[in-house]
Amino acid sequence: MARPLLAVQGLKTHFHTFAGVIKAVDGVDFALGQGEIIGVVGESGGGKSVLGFSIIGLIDPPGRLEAGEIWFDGRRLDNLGEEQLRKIRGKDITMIFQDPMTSLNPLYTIQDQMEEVMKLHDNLNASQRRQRCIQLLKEVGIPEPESRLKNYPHQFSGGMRQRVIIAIALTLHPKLVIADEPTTALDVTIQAQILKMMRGLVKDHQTSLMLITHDLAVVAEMADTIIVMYCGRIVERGRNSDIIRGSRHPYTRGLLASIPKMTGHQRRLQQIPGMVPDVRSLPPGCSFAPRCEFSQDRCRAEAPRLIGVDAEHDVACHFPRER
Amino acid sequence: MQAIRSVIENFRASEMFHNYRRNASAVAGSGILAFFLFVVVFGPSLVAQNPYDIASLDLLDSYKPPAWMAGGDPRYLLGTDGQGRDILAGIIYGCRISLFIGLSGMFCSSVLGTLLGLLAGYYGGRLDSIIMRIADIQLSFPSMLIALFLMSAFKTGIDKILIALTAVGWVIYARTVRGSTLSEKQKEYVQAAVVAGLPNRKIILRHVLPNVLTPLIVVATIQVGSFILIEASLSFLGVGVPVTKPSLGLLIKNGFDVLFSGLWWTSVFPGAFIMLLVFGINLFGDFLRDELNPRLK
Amino acid sequence: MRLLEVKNLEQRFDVSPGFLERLKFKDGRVRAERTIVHAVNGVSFHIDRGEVFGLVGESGCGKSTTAKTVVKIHPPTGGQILVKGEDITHHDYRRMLPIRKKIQMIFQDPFASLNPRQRVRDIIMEPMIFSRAVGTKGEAQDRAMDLLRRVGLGPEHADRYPHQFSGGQRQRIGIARALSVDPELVIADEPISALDVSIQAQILNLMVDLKDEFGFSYLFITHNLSVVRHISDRIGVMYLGFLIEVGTSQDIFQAPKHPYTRALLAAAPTIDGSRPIDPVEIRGEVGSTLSLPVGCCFQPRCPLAFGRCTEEHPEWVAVHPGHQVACHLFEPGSH
Repeated sequence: MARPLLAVQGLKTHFHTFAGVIKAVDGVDFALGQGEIIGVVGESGGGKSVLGFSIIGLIDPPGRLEAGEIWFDGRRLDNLGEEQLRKIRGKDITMIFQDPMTSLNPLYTIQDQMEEVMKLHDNLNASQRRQRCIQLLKEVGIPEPESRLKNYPHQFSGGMRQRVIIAIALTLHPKLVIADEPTTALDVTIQAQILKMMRGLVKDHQTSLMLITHDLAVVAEMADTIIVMYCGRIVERGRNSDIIRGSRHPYTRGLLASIPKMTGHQRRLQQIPGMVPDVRSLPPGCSFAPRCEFSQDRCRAEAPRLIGVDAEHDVACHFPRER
Repeated sequence: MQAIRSVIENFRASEMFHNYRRNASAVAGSGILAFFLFVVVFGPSLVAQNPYDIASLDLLDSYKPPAWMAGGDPRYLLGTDGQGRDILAGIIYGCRISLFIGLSGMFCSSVLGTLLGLLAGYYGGRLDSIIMRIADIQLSFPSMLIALFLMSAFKTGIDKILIALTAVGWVIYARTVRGSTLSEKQKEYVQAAVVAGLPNRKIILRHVLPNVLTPLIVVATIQVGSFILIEASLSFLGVGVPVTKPSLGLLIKNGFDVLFSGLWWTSVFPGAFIMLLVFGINLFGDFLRDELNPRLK
Repeated sequence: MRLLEVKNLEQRFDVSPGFLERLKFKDGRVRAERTIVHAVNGVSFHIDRGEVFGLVGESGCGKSTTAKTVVKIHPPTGGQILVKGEDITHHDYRRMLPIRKKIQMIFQDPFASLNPRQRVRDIIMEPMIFSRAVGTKGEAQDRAMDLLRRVGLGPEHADRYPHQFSGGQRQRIGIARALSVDPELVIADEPISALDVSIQAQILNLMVDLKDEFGFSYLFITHNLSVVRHISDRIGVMYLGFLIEVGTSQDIFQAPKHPYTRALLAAAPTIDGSRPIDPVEIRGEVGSTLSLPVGCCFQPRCPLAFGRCTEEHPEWVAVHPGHQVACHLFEPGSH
């Protein structure tokens, strides 16, 4: 691709707690182009949220970026100080969090909260700011935006709040939006509306979107490329169709197979045996080996690295499945 | 034995113990409390004199200054009071009284308050309103006033003090427990108990109560300290413990009259001990509060 | 005689604030208004022996409340509940005790559904002991250990506390607890929603296996369409406290009738990109049970609403034996 907007190389984010080191992100590489949607998929403990936080620089002690580089629009992010990061946060890179109920400050009107970002980074006057707010609210589908500027968060429903949060994230035309489980807390019908809106916004503004979720179906509908994470590492990476219809890693396959289908009939679902291991004491070799029906001695001894099995399709497995 | 060992092992491996060791004030606080525990248990056997035994007193020894000062007597390390009583011995016995009052007051308050809080939170409705209104009213009466009333109507005595302290002290437990009960009641394990066929009484005792006790630990710890101080004030005003069983507070009062004639040791030492005791309690209580607060995690 | 029959079940919660806060100035007079949540509004369905009845809907539709009302966690404010012909609607604690052996529940939140201060062994034994399902404590212990094994845990887990287990394991414990009294109906309230995807399949398979082995029925509550389709024989769709469509799994998914059902199916993202046959796109926000819409509960959001929809609430119409809809579109005589 042309120079990617975001390139992450060998990123490691570790948390040094009293009970041991938690290697939340342990060697992640990927790239994201302008206007592209990348889906980061995994279960709890997979490291996907921490990945998002690492990129935007919101990792607090006892966590730190141990290794790796984050390149954004030609600049390195991982070695920037808080001052410089603040200039980028909110303006070039913004983030949307999971819970719409707590992402907004209940004490301020939404106009205040939307304008806060504007005041920090831009020099519009009051009337310009107000116009921008109304325009943004319209874009995210809030009816009668003029009358809702002075409302407080509690006067909006969950879905509406999430739209406001997206509006805030888009205020300054960011190049990259990181969305951490943005629709998980929403109802299915509202989720469909929000996802459709997000797709439209990405297309209209050529904003890149990093969509972090555990929901494979959402990622199947939204993402251009997908990375699947397990225990802090990427196990498979590729285009949407490669991952959803042609996955080669046993974990990805297991996940896809364990979701009940909307067509056909199964008496029993295929299941992945065992549990996600404790992140503090990962098994040597491949982290997925204990649960993998295809694992062999090599898997338990040596951690697999990402290798290309196809054009733009990489798998971290010693014995990737046949297509 | 195995069970005890595993509890200790779990504790030592726990995060709480880890934080404890790194927290200077927590260690200091518990050190102070350990010291007082020692004083209370072994103190009387270390001191020659029993200050309540009038026969063992010698008036000629009255108002002797602390041993390291001029005119001091090595038998009386911290000096003597107007009746020839050893200040140190008085303090040791006084600690026992003060702590006894603090702990029993806390015990009575917590039992009463927890019970009322559970009932108010679990059953709600009118019972809740009544209990909470009584709590509000109770809070408008300082324990001083209640104690004064009780003392003027009856004679002084430790039981009157305990009644006064309990009358005011139960409210904080009731409030805290009521809040926790309301919150635990919504949780599904309580609903599961209903579905399992438990009667309300058993649900409250087996399920709700064990889960609302944690915040009370902090409240109770701090309350011991505050009760000791309240009792000291009451004694200072003369409506506290009877003269025959002086607490630290009463000792301070006894020495107060001669404080400004240069006989400072009779008040200052008991005062220092009370301060130290309450300080230790508060330090330790602060540590507990931060440790047991789930939100800070 | 049906295992469970629910007739016109109603559940209203009075969430009014205190007297002083309720005073409002309205229509030239001062009134003290009550705030009522109409959580369940006239819901009727039945469950037969050995079948899985799925209750599906979005948040606030009343499915969980229905489940909890059926099992008398909240006493119903209207309607009837019949268990094997016996009307338990107004049963007190004592009369409910024998019923507790017949109906048990699995809860949604693996973290809140087990008492953090109780050992696993005691958690599982409790329903047996209190509903007098077993004779001696020894029997209860044996049965508890057996159930523990049956749900995929081991005897070494019996003396541990809930916080030492993962979410999936806690749900297994919850399942063992529910099965301890050998119930005939198990109400599962979103039992897998809080679990990781790979664990969901395990628990779902376990639940199906246990049902086949012991022969009980499920009332399975969920918001997840693919799950409800997988596990249910019959399905009820709820919206704003109303049951708006009931039918077999095939009826609902192959031939959905109610516009809301169709919108729900259209909105659910799918892995294989498949789209339902007759999609409906829904608009607006989910309504509120504090002030129900006039007429049909769904009409403010329904793209197919017409005059009658704003006037009266639709009655049940059978479009097919066993397949019923509450929608004016299907009444004989409408367009």
